[in-house]
Amino acid sequence: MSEGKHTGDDVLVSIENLNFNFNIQRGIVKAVRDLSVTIKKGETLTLVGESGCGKSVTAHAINQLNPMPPGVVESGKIYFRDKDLLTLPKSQIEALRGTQISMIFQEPMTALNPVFTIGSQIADVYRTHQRISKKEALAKAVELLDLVKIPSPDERIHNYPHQLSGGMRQRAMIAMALASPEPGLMIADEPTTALDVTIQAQILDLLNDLKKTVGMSILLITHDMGVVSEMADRVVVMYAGRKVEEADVFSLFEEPKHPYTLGLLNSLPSNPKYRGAKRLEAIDGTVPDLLTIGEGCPFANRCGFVKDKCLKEFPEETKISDDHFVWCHHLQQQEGRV
Amino acid sequence: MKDTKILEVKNLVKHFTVTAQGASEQKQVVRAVDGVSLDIKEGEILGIVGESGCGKSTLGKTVMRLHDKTSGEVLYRGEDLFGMKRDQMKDISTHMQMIFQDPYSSLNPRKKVSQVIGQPLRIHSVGSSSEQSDRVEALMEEVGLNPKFKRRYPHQFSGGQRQRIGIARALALDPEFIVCDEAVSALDVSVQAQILNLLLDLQSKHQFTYMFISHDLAVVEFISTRILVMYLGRVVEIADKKELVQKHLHPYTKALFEAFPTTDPRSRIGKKRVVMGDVPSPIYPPSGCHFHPRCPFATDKCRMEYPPLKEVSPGHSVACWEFGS
Amino acid sequence: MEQELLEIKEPTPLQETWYNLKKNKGAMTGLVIIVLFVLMAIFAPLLAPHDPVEQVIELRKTPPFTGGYILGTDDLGRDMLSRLIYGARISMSIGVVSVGISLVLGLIIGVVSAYFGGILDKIIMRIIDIMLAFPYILLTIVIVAILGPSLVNAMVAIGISQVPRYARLVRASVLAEKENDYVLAERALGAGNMELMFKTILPNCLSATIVQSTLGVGEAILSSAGLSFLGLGAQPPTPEWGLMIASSKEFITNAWWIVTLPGIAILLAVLGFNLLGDGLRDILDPKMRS
Repeated sequence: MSEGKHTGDDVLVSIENLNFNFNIQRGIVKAVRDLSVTIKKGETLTLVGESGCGKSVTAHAINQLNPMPPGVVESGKIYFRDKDLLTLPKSQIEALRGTQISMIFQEPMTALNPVFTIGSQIADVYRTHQRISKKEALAKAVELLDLVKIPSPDERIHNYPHQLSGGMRQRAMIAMALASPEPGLMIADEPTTALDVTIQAQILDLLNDLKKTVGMSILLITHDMGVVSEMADRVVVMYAGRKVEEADVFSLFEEPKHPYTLGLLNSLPSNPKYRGAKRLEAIDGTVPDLLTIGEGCPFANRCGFVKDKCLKEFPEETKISDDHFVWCHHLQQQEGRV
Repeated sequence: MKDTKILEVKNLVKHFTVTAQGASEQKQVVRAVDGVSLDIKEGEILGIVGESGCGKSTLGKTVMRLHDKTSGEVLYRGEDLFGMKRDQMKDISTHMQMIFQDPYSSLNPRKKVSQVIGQPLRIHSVGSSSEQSDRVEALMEEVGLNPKFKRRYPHQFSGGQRQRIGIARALALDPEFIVCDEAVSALDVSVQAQILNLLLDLQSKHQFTYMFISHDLAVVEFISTRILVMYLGRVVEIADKKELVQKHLHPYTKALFEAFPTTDPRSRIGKKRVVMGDVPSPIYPPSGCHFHPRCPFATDKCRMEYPPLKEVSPGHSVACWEFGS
Repeated sequence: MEQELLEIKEPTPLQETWYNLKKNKGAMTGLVIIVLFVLMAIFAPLLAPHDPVEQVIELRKTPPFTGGYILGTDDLGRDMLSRLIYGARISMSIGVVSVGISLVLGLIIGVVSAYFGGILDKIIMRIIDIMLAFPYILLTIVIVAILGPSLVNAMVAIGISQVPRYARLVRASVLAEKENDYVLAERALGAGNMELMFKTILPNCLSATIVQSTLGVGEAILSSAGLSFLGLGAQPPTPEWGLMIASSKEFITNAWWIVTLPGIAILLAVLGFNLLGDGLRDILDPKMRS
């Protein structure tokens, strides 16, 4: 259905009908179901959703960091620069990781090696991909730290990760992700969740600047609608393993269509409509268990517009505009009538 | 709103001594709370906001006497909390309660839900065991849990449901004052909204007084009637919510409001942010005003002397030299 | 819908442990061995074909499977099988009693030390360090030497010599556990120190201790055998396995079974406890769970 829609020269990553399961003792967790997403060159695509919606699993399916087993790709394809990543040999995936596909994590401490200085860690990334001397690589590391706005970078390269503050560590992590001759995709998994809000603002600004100067694509994973609104070009809203809405960032915030997206925005106390209010319009109920989830719309049990059809089958795509798609029986019917 | 003070904090100081890891075993002092004074009136929701290391959580726990104080006073309805003997403290726990951040570590994993919620009743020997069991069921209903599940263990519930269990436990003894320490921070957005609604519903039903601690400005702004901003162990600004939201004066408060991501993607275009730099360590707070290294308006005086908290209009106080005289 | 989610029956922690235990072959083997030994100990009078101390001088050193003696007789003509069966009684009680002593003392010392911390903790831990600095067997011998050699004293000695280990283990897990908010929460509810230490924190620290005590029973059996071998534990004619080896070591060349069979009994019992202990460690240690 969405095949051919986003293929073309400007597409960097294309995930097609991905089904990703975790086979655990108690059964099969259907973490990602029938998901198609494309990331264009130079754009920031955001996967947003609450815990367990499958956003991280999707991102990790690209650079194959999901634990396998218990993880299993049930079906689907992931193209990166026209290579099908799921059929590539392990050695080639490893070569892609850190060069063309880099990653920054929520907690940079887990990704930085505590016993090496950040300078040597960045230099090492250079040296694995390019034949340059250690001195040259260190000089490049200084340049990178300067690029990510770490003050006095020529001194900081001699610091160990624990000597840096949380915000500085995240900057160093970003520098490492950039230490490649041809950065293509940066996967940012909740990059600011562990940071204070003033530091978060700095990191978001930095990422936005870098996107322009370096010209890479960012796949941003977040649960925070505020971060989405600060960073995203396009947004994919996920719920319980499914894509429920996809839109450019302005349409999503100004004309949210899916009842879940609406509910999510209404759950934010920062929503301007709550000035002086005493109650939030919360979504009742809880996320369904991915072990026992059926074929219907996963949001059906919490949705105010639920119909019989919603419980039985997952809806087809409804096109709102060229950049705005939604998967909802209720809206399908409405749009059909118009 | 009545104007009776339920809690008075006078120049409260809480320092922790930590031993620095390294070659020289050096003792360092973390100035978590460094001279905080505040009042909480009956029926109000005082929001306390600040970033990590600002001491807001320590303040909440010290006010509950879960930490010892270093100096200063905490008066609960005029009575010195730290002067109380064990029996008096036990009685006080029927008046003040706390709701914790992490719904995973704040419930004893070896206790069934009925035991968790019923524990305060048992400790204070409230009623017979069948009365206690009835009360547990009523409490579960009140916080939106099905009493059928009272024999389950905490790990069998979702994060939001576990937070509801924690709230039920805090309600068991019919307190009048509740400290909510990051009570919704660990929850997903949609669940966070449910819990915020629950807290507000309970407040209007029981006339609770809340001290609501959070790093999330939006949450504090939504729930509070008055807001206090902390930075590195000190109060930098305090005012009624409306006043603070519209006329915040302290450069740090401004920075917080500006840094907070909006839900309007169009506002990000051309947005300029003021604050650079990191939050300094509470072990070595900067001289003078703790905020001066990050403040765009810092003067020599700011670098030398800490500004006192001055009332700039009724109920609105700021600790900044720019508004000091 | 919320109900539906919760309708799924989830096992209690105990059921879950049992479920995981059943899948662990090593632990199950260990458990079977232990159960067999325990049954042997309980029903010794019914199972033993002869009186374990009755000497039939004419039938000394009868080899196994001759003259109605399945496992033969020893140098004084006592039935080996009966002695081994009764020996299970002694070894099992040594294991349980001595581990019981170290467990109770270790738990109390560990919990108190970690809970109150400060100077008290420092003093207790230094004493424990000193105790740990003594070679274990030497410490036991010193205690037995003070109390006098007997089976009961051996149990006490083994028990006391193991206290430091349990105290340290418990202290470490209490230190980690007491940082959890549920401890603060219960303190805010008015719970006293005793309640917090023994009803709130301790039950959450037991898994590591359970593993240690299972392994400890095996070690205690081994130690008591060692003490008896040295003449510091059980006294003749008690059918204690270690003592049986000690008193028959000179026959190893001409009547191998008198020395070997008690050795095999010790080996099996210790193996059983170690297998179960290792299995429990895998199951109960949250870090090993995925």
